[in-house]
Amino acid sequence: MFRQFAALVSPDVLFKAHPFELAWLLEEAWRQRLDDTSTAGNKSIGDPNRRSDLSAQPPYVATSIDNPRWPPLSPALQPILRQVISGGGDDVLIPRPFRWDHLIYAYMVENTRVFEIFRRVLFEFIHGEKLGAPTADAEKWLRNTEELFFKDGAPFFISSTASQLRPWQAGNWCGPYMRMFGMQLNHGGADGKPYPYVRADASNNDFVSTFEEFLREVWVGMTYVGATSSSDPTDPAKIATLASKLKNMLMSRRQNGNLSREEYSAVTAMAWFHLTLEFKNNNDSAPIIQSLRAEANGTEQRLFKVAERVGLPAHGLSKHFFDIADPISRILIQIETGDYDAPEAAPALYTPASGDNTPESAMRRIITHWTAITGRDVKARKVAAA
Amino acid sequence: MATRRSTPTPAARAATSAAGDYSYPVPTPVPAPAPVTPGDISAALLDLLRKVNAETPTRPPLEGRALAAVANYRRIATDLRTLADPAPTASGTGGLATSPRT
Repeated sequence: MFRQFAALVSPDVLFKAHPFELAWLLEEAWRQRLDDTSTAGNKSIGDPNRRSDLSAQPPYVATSIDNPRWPPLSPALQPILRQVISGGGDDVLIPRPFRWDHLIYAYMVENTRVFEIFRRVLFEFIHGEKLGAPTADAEKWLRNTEELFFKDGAPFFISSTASQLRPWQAGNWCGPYMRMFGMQLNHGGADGKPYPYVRADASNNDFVSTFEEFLREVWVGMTYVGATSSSDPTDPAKIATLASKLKNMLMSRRQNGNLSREEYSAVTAMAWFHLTLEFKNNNDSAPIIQSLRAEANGTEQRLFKVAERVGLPAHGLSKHFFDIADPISRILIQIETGDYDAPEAAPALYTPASGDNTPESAMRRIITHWTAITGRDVKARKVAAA
Repeated sequence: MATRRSTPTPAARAATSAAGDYSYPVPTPVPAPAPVTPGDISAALLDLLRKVNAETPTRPPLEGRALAAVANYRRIATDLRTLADPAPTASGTGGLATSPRT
């Protein structure tokens, strides 16, 4: 979420904001989430366009964004909540609708070990001066990070998921990861032990095998998309079947908005740390990175340097995890909408289209990075046993 | 002891040739081809290129549901645009989630 906010205001403004402003911003983004309740849309709760039916805090802000008394946002942050013109051609101003990343985004980013590494950074700054004294701007970043992600959270806020039944602990999101994707994090805590979490009975254990089969079939389509002098083994019907299977297993876990709060909480936390490392995408550095003298070229290189400072190694394939996070999040959201349930839509996944941001380019990136991360080459043809 | 064969003298060679042992048929003259003009070459090349193009595979255009899927993906990507994504175009909606609620 914070990475999307940073596309609207400078990341500096976010890092220097008061934690209450940021918590409130998350609350408002939840309130203004995409919420397709039209009968024509016929969206069930949990659908990408209708993730949840839970309310945010009372809508003090609905029609008074410019009211100086409320919301508690500084003028620099208010552009995030400004109304936008409806794209329907009628020039109607509407509250800006928000969408957040898929849970897979949080899973991929957390696998870099970024959360544990920054937890150690906070620990060191709080308990001593091993890392030196933080700069003034880094102090604000440290306060915001601790308030937002290492406390139980203010009551009633949608992103405050900790309670007596699920006290805050490292690896808080392992349960949702396992339920949605049947996958655990590739690392444990600083002590090397796996994170403790409650294993649910219902989890998508077939997700990985189905997704890899899906990637393999799409790669076949990419290979033969322009072929005329050979047979074309592309199978759009199989791609559609696999996409539909993925949709059904993911949406089964999301029935009636289940796991949406956990997803929101996980992706906002990971986006905060991802943005801290990515910052302005122009080799400038966030305050905490400057304070740690961890400036470097590239998101993963900054993570490596921060990890080096605190003596907790990051994952060696962090670049692949960072690079796959965005495209796989967008593709899974689209799969959940049911766009690829029909074989006629499958060519969009492997046929280049003009312009930027196409499903085909996203699939190419996913295939490349998934192969690197898992060590299983989805470009290789299956070999039938004799 | 082996003896080398003697090389025929020019006189002997002339005598053999005169006897007709080494005569070859005289080739029939072939009429020279008409001179090729630049215009003829261009026409031939164009014809060849036309045939090659006819056999070149063309990328199947996206249409119907596939085209709609591309548009929907772009809408999702626009909603989730970050600093890592290309800047929005002047004519595009750009920015975060400017697509209206449906």
